[in-house]
Amino acid sequence: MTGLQREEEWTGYLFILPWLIGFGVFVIGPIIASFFISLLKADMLTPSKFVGVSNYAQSIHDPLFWKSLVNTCYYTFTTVLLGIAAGLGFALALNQRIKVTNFFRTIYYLPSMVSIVALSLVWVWLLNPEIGFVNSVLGGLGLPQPAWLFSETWAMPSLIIMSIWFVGPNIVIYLAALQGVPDYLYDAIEIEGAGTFKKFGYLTFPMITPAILLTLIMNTIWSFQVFAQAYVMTDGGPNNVTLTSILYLYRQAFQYFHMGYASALAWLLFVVILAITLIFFKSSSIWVFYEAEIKK
Amino acid sequence: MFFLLPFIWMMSTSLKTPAQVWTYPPEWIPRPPSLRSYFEIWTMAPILLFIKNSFIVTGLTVVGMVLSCSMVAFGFARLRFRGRDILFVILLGSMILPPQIYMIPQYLFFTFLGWVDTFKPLYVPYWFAAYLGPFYIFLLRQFLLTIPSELDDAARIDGCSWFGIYTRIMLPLIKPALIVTVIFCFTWTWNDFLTPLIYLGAREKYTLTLGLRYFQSQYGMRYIRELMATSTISIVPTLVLFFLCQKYFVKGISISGVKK
Amino acid sequence: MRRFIRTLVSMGLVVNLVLVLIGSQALAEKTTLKWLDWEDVTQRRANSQIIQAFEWMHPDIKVEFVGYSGGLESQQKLLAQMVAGTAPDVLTGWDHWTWTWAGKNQLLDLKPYVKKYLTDEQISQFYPAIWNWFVYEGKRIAVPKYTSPMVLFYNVDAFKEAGLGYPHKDWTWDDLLNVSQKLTKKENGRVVRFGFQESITLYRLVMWIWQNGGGIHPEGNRSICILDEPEAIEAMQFIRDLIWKYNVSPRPGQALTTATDEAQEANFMAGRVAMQEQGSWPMAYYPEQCKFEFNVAHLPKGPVKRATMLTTDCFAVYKNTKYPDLAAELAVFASGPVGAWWNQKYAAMQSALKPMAEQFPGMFPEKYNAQVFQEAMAYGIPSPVINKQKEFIDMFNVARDQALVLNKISVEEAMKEVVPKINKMLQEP
Repeated sequence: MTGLQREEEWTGYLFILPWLIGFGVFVIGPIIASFFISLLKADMLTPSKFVGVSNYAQSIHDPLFWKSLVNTCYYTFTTVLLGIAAGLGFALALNQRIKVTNFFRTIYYLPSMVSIVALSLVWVWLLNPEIGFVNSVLGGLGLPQPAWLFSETWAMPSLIIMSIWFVGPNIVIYLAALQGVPDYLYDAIEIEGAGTFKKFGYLTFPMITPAILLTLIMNTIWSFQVFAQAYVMTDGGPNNVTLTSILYLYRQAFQYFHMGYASALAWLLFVVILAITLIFFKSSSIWVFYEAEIKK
Repeated sequence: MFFLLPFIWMMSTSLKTPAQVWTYPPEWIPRPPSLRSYFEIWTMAPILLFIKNSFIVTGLTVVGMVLSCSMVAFGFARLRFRGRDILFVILLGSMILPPQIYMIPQYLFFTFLGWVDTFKPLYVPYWFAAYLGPFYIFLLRQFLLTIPSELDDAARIDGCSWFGIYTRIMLPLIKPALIVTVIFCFTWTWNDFLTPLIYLGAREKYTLTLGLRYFQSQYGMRYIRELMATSTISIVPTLVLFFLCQKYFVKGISISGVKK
Repeated sequence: MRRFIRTLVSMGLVVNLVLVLIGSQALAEKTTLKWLDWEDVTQRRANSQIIQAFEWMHPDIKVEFVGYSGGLESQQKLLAQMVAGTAPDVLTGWDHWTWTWAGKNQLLDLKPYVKKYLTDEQISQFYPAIWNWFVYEGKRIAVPKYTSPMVLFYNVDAFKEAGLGYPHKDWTWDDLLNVSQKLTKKENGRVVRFGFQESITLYRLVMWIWQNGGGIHPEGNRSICILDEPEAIEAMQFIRDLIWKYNVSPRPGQALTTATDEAQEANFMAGRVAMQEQGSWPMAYYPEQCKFEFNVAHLPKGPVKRATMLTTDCFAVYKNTKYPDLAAELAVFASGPVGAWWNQKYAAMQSALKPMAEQFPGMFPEKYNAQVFQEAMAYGIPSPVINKQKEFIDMFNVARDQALVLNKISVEEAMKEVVPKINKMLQEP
């Protein structure tokens, strides 16, 4: 190892030092503690008992755990896809060199500033089967009008469609990424006579793949942790179709006082999400384009 | 329009009189609108104090977060060191465990430090890129990776230090991403309810999100107008910030105007 | 003379200094009691009056109000505080959390303190049913904050419009159904006003089950659930028929229909529903927020007996408090006449003290038949104590959804399916 490499190495550690400290002081301790709790039968208030992996074993026979996991996967895969597609669409539209007023550039971020409770109340009105805006449009088009939040089939899609309100951050990220695409590249590709789709496929899309990877991973992690909407709007109902993993975990931990079992569920969930994240991350070498080569 | 609906609904509820709030179907535009709730809230709760606290907490958090996260992101994106990739996976992994599950150990830790009932648990961890930090690090890293590596090689040959590359070359180049980080961090901290709730006790330290509870009654929605009026006020700072910042990450007409 | 004055002045100075020293000493050692209660404007108003009076009685004590709001987050915080041993000294309990805390051995047994601070005569002023309700495994876990029977609120204008007589004491379930049918108003094939809406949470459904002679647990045995017995099934079937057979109560989506009390309140205030059951607290804000005249009456009497639920909150003391004596005194004080007075005045929470509660109807204009809050105390039953209540209710809700919300299976089928599961859960250690 040369002197320069050695310098690079300790400088690298120096740069990430804030996080190393933060992780070591504020994060790792509680995480390890939660792992130990998952091996206990504990409510945290009365004396607890060591039970080994039996909390994990119990989860395998817990139909609600599986049901909530399936619900969450359904929610995650659809919202992530929808969020990325809608985010890209809006970002490209807003990035056009046409006159878009500042007003339109701001409103898509509004829902991200409004409290989830206000959002939920509006959504309940909009989806009201009888007088709601959504069904009156569907009725006008002669389409069937579902009962939305009160239907086993449509309750989860209601939550998924609502998630479009949270597309603002994705749009912001894509817009910032589009800033990084140099104008001369557009000029070059235009000279070669590329159409809109070709421009997107060969230039725009590859250039923003790093941002897409970011949103893909983060949206997945956050969608898996969906909780507030399900809690406020349906509390898991009807008939548990909107019972999400975190809602179930919350009930176990803070309402049934099965803290050990809840911790075990959290760790199982951790493994699932980590696996998905790693798959995305490893696959990124195939489809994500970085200007800077990642030095090995 | 779809994006505006929640906002319109908040505004319209806040502009109603008690007797106008409950109608079926709901009225989107109150007739006549009334500013009554906007006058009343200031005497019902110390809103100004809450706003001040929110600004203190959010300001301290945003500054610390952007500084520390950009440094860490630079380290991960542009430098080579042993264990970098595994550390990065750990960094991502630390966001995956549902925070609810380690909240109690965390609370015990901050109690042990004597930080409960102070602002410290709200912002100090962010100076060290903890909790939400990894997300901002990841974000900035992705943007740093879009900058060609020839740039730092050339700078190194010119004798520029790594720190110099970070401050003088990289930070200006990822300005849009930094602005995005500021916006996200501001929005998130400003709206955060759970952390202040858990760690703040005395009313004098309440942030605005905690102050909203003055209008959440045990029985029924007695204070819904006041709640919506305060909520509407509470989004103003974020809105202003976003409005001022958006020109940094939207190309828009000015650039194309210059170009043509 | 001058010397005398000088001596006087200097003595005065010394005395002053001593006083200041003592004063600052006392100030520095002022004990702070923390009191957890609901956070909203109303409750703050009432509690600050109570705190003022208590601090006046104890100049060396400062009482700090700690806010609580609904939702899981506050419960999370309280649990974390209990684990850390730093929970507030006085805890206001509602929604059966008191029972959970007591089950987890987090509450101080108030028996000796009640004996110390209250005479037998003072104790006898409380409604016995409510006073005795807070005894758990031989321990006094709390003292009551208020009590209110659930009564029938009705939209007077709607009754006038339909030309109907107002609800009265001898109403039966059939009367309720008949009048609801007449109150239900359709325009262009769409119902614009429903006769009656019952919030379909277990804590409200249970009143109808009681009226029909059933219950949740059999008397004295909380490890069995009897919601699958005919009395309970019939009662729930009655509510289901109101919704699905006669449609005099809104079906999901025909109004704001979630299982929460808030939606039901909103429907009433919007004139969308003409009758609902409620406690005394809306009397504090319905007069301002309803655009129509309303009034209160007794709930109809059931096929088997007359019954309603007595809702109540309470004050408990955290087990690990540093000042058990003072905290207990504050709890008892807040429960007593001063506390009850302010809660009654600001929040329309009817006092749990008989002499105070008797003044409650007089607080409202004569057009309101507020006397029913008093009369209904005679047949009211305290809210049922459900074993493992949150797990129980989550399981029950799934069955309820299928029968009452989705109309998929009958009440009988739903209960026959879920009750064995609930029983199995109850018998687990």
